[in-house]
Amino acid sequence: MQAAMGECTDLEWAVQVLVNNFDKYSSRCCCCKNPRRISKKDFRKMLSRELNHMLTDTGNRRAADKLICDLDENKDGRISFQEYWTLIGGIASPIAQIIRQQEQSVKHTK
Amino acid sequence: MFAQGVSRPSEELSHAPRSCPTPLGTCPPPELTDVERAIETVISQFHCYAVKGQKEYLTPNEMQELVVQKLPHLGKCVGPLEEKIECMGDPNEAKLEFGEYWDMMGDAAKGCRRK
Repeated sequence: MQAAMGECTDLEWAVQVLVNNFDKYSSRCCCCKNPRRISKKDFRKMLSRELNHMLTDTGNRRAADKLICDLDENKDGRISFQEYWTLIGGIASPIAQIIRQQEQSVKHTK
Repeated sequence: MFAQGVSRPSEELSHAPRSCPTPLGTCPPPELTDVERAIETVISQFHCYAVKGQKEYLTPNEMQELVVQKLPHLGKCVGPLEEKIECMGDPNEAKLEFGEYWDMMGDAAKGCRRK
């Protein structure tokens, strides 16, 4: 799990964790030349195992479901690294927004 | 070793209770997974540097600072910063929002994978 690049910053650690997480749930398709991908089933498994605290909010969970549903249009049904990153971003972005709003409301009430 | 370098106000973590008291015999409080802590870190770093935009966006300068200070190993994977800054347009008006920042981290991540 540890990043193999000497003294990394917390941000680099975070990026590395997210990369390792993709590798943990992804597999190669029949042909080993294809890049690794995550099946939708494994992606759901990943969400429930790795993100169950963050997705306790029903709104968040619904957003995540919608994100995966959107991928259904893609015929191969497997999630590439780019898609994985975008999906996690789709989960992170509303959380970032919520945190910001919470802080602002704290400031206003003070 | 991976200490959370930046001090974060506790309300940032309000969605992720860390230290609620546990009565004996019940499940321990939810411990965030590494993935969740990672996402939280990426968010908190963005918030930490997005001073002018009040955590909504980074200015070109703030973005540059973040990449130089926080991505010493992966910064080069993000691509030439000057070009990125130029693409953002007028440096006094330019804003890098969370989504774009996330995409930038994606470039850094791809750099990680090539290693």
